[in-house]
Amino acid sequence: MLSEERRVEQQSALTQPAAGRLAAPDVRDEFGLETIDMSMGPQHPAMHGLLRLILELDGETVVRCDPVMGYLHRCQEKIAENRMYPAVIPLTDRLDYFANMHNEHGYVLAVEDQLDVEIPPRAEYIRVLMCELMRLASHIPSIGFLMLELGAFTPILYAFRERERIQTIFEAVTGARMMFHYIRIGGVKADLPPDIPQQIWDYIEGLEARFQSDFVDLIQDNEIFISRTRGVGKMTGEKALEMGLTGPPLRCTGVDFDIRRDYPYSIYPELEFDVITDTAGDVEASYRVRIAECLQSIRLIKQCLEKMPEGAVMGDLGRRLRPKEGDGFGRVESPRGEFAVHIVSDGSDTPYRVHYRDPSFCNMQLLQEVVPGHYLPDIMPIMGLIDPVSGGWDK
Amino acid sequence: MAVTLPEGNLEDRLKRYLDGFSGRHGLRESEIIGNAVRVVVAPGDVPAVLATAKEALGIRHLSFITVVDRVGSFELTYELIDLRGARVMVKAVIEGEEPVIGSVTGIYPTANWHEREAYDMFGVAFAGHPDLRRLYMWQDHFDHHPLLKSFEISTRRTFEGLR
Amino acid sequence: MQKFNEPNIVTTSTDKLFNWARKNSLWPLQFGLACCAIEMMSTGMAHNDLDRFGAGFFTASPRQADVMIVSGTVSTKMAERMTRLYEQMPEPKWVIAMGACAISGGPFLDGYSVLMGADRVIPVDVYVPGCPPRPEALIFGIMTLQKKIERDQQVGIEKPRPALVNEDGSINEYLPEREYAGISEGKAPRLEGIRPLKRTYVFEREGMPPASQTDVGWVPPEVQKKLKEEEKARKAAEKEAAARADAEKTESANGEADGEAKPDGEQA
Repeated sequence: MLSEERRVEQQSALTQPAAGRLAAPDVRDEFGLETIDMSMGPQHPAMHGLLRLILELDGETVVRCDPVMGYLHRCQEKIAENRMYPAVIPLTDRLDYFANMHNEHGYVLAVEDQLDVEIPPRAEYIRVLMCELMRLASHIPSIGFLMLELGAFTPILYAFRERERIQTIFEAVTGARMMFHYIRIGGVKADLPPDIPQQIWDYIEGLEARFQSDFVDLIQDNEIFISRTRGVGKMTGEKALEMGLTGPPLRCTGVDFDIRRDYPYSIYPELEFDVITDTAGDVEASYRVRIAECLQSIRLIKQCLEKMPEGAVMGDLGRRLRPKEGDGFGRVESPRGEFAVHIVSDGSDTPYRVHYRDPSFCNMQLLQEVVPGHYLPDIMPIMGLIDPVSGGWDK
Repeated sequence: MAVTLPEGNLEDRLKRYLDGFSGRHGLRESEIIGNAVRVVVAPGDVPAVLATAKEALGIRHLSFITVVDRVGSFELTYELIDLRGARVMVKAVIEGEEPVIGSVTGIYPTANWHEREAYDMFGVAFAGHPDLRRLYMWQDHFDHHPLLKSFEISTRRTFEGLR
Repeated sequence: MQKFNEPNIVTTSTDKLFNWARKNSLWPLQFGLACCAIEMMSTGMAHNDLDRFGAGFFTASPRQADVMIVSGTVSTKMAERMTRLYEQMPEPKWVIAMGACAISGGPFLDGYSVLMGADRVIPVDVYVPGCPPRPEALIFGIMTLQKKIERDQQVGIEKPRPALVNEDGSINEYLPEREYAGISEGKAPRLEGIRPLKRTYVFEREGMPPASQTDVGWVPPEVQKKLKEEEKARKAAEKEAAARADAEKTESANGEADGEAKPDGEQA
């Protein structure tokens, strides 16, 4: 057993903020030290996708970090100009492929902005139910990926177990495990099967019962987790707003901005939920924000299931959709932040221009500002803070 | 260190923003639609208008910059969010085939990558941008701007960039 | 040491041993590109376990990898890096193209920066269709690859695996593996007369769809009986109608013989 002093010493060392130390300029000159240019290339086991970071390193400390993107550019905006409005929905599915429902929802809101359609309330409730289930299916694996990159293998197994079960529910409702094409313009594709609400309810109750033990107790007080994530990537609210962050990276610095509450869409005004913020703007804070948002999602799912009305699930639309000319805007709170779609239509049945504002794209600017000064291994937890998805930043 | 966000009634705030813009700059069009203030300005005024929005009116978040290629002119839309329910859309139309406009990176640093993307996809040059290079396409030997209407997509073009 | 040029008992036995060892410990290269990578990760996780096939160790370094699972859209910017990784893998190596994007470009076929299939630049052994393919489908693809590895021979067949990027930077377009399947004896001439790929897209085909699409397929037995009876009734009605028509014709022929002059008579 360690003596008391040693234990106190170790404990305080763990809670010190992790900060890199750059060699002083005179030390560098005296010893002839130079910086190393290194490319953390597109294929890397720990990158959330294909990202190339051109790093300038002084020993282990990063002096400059320059992300190079475009390794998955799939020309989504250009292809969308040649497809009819309903045919763009599968393309939006593949934008941020961890949160497909939110992408679809954002696009569909933008198109419905220019149409004159009344969406039945049951369809709205189903949309919110699916979006909140998707939020669970996105936040839980992102915690798993954060831990995988720090070296822990168990949390990601638990996370993918949950994701498999949620994907089974999605398969029963929409017919597909991942690319749903479920939220359509005017409603949703089809009604929920009759036994699904009970299945979702049972699953959510089970998840709530094991959430604390599987995802919180296992991770939160772990020494290695604390020493690698406390103080890493620390930002203030001012800086985060300047950099244009949204979503959990912004809320973990203390700014409470949530599109579900501030720019409400669908039936969120009728549901009760809290907006979770944390004051320490580091990776550990983002982990706590995501955990708490999972619990809020569970709360929202229960409310949706209780309050769901009966009725049709698709509005009254013709076969050929011709929105009126002009700009349509849709904005949703995806698990990564603010996902906005701007559609310019010219009255025909294909859009003239579709522009996606993806949260992963905008939150990645954090890397240029925050990484310099940290050690090289700290880049992994910072990517866990942003939690980007490469289909999102590369469109 | 707490960040203060705007408070108050939504309509009052929208009117205050509209008056703030029209009082300081000459606007071509201005109206309030729903929860958004829509303002059309000349391209040369865009940095000044956005500076007003950030400093005088306290609108702190630039959501996105969209470029639309109307063949013969380019239409830029800057969407600003005040984080509490109000939106501001600033539109500018640049005539001609070689669009140049002032950069707003000094005002909203998040515009850095939005402007790089607009340059990459459309060729819109932003004067004063600290680091205007391509974002998605190959940075050295790709001479086209893909989202222009004159760039047609087909299966034949894919091998142009493959060295 | 004797060098064998043709398969015999020694080489087939060692073939069996090597192929068994290779197919049961395929180490994939971690090459998740896009959405299919998530399903590949799901396949490696506890529910659909890839480790029971020996293929659970996803290695990050290409020098230790056996199989490269191209999962996701290959953009042209990434294609260079992909060929470099492929060349860094030591022999024997295989490639699985997972997902519609890796097979042919998928939903992004007409994109300007999307490579129309990974087999444009590297040789692919197994294609797993789907968007994204289910984990079970990927496991089926790996099992197909295992069956393919079983057929491998150390002598007698030359598999062309050349470098695909020349020194001057030009790319050799590669035919998919199926085009080389008919070459079984002797040395296959490498890259001799590469024919341009003929791909027909669905919207370019003219004429009737293939017979399998117009075929009705299996019909339940009671419906079959009903159809047979209807067929018989129809045939009987037809025969009756034909008999009645004959009777009418002979009547009218008799009637005409009285009234009109015969054509023979006219000609004569």
